[in-house]
Amino acid sequence: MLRIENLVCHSDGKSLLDIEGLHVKGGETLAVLGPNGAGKSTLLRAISGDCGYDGEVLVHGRSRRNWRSNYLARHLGVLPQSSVLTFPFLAHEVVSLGAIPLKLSQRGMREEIRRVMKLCDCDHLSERLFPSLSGGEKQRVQLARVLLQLSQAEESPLLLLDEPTSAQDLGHQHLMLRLTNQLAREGYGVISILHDLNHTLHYCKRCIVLENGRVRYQGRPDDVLAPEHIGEIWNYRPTFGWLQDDRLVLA
Amino acid sequence: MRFSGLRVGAVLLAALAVSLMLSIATGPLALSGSQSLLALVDHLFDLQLAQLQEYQRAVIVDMRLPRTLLAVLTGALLAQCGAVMQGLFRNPLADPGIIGVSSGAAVGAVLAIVAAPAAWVAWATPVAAFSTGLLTTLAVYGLARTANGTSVTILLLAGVALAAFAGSAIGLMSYFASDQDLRSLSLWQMGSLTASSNTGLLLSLAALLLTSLQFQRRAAALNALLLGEAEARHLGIQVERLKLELILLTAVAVGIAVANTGVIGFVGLVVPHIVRMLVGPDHKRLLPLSAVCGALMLLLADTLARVLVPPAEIPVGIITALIGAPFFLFLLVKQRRLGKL
Repeated sequence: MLRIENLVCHSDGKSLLDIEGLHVKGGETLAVLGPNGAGKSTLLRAISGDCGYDGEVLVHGRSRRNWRSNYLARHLGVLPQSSVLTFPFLAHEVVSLGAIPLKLSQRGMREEIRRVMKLCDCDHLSERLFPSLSGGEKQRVQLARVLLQLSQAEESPLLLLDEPTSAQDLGHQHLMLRLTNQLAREGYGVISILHDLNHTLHYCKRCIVLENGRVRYQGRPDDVLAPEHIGEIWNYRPTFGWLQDDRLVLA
Repeated sequence: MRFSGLRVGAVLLAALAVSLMLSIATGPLALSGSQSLLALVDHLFDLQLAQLQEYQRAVIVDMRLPRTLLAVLTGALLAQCGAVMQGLFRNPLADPGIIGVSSGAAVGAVLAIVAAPAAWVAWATPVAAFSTGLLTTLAVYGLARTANGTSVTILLLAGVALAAFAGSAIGLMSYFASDQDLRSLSLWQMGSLTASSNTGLLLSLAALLLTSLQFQRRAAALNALLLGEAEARHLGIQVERLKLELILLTAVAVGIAVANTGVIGFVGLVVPHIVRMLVGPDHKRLLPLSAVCGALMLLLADTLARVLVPPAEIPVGIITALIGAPFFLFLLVKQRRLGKL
């Protein structure tokens, strides 16, 4: 569903990103890893059209430049790391903004809003003022908004998440990651920037590791996140072990 | 506490109707309310119901009515522009007066009043006000925008600089004005509804219809813009085009308002705040209700300006500034407490 070919991003003559090829299928969960400044956010920004780039970003085989903007919006959703919204919307009103590119009846919209807010465990915040919520609560409300935006996709939608667990408490970190897996089972392609390697190991089918704007490693997390690779990239040697169900854990 | 948009709208419209009658019936010449209204009905339907002298009729129809209408139209224009600018700048302190757009428009208007041939003034003033207002908006916007919205500090400082520049430019031009121009200039600079011409009224009406319609069509997009520019783009909105259209439309509205009445400050700041407190920040409700509430506010302020020191009258800009400036300070203090300044 997403294909990237020879993607190059510059800023002030400095190359930020140089990716020969990347392919994400519907139903796949891809983690984007790498040290600070490796180009993870730039990759997401290029895919979502927030920065200029050379090369091709194809969504469902068509260059993203050739999509009608509100049609693309129904198939490509982005969860930002944090929110700049300071105006006193109620949480459910923020979610309803996700319906801007959609065609929904008033009643259908109310039901959809309730459904996505439940999915993101923020239905109890529905009547609260958005600016008064905590960072993690805001992020979950924003995710509900993005899920509403993708709820009328005609082909499998692509969801981009910029550090979806960074503001969440332990329980909600796992809720968010389980949700991405559930969405992938429904056919979504999910690309998340993650910092927690255990999350990557346990929740993602595939990962890429960026370094200086290039793909250094890619493949199954079990293979990619070998301790010697981690040492190379992050300058840190983890200890590791296995859980009873044979899952690898890093510490 | 939130109220339904319809209920607030109904209350505001009722209050506007009452203040319209109040405004028509108030003035240095004592005329009974019922007779004044009958005179209006006569004027509209060509009847003879009111028992008034011809000069009394003229006071109602030729003096009070145009002024009342100008107050309504200008108030609606300014309040709606304030609401749109606050959305565009993602900043509740934006207002055509505070960020210097009105000052910019005033420079153009004064230039036209002083320099344009007498026959052209009626048209040249709004056109010049629009042009310089547009330039100012673009300049302020370019200066204040950052990746995370607009910087309040730069916004306010740009307003200070532009107001100072406009003040001195207007002061300089007043040396070239004739005595008659000078008197109307100084009144106009304080913001006054006295000089209501038919051209001005028609232009205001056209501008209000145009901008209300166009703003309303972009209400959902404005809501999305509050999320952030990138987020709005992800929702399928063509952000750069939207911003340019909004800047053009507000420049039209502010230009025409300023050409007619001079700089009437704070209506665009105070009104959207009140409406937001009542019905929330959704632009679909905020924009039309701000228009009605702005019309009501300016009408009441003008009525007050006419009755405080009879038979003289205070320029209405002084009244709105007296109410608006403390309100602005209150907002500043509130924002400072939230750590946003």
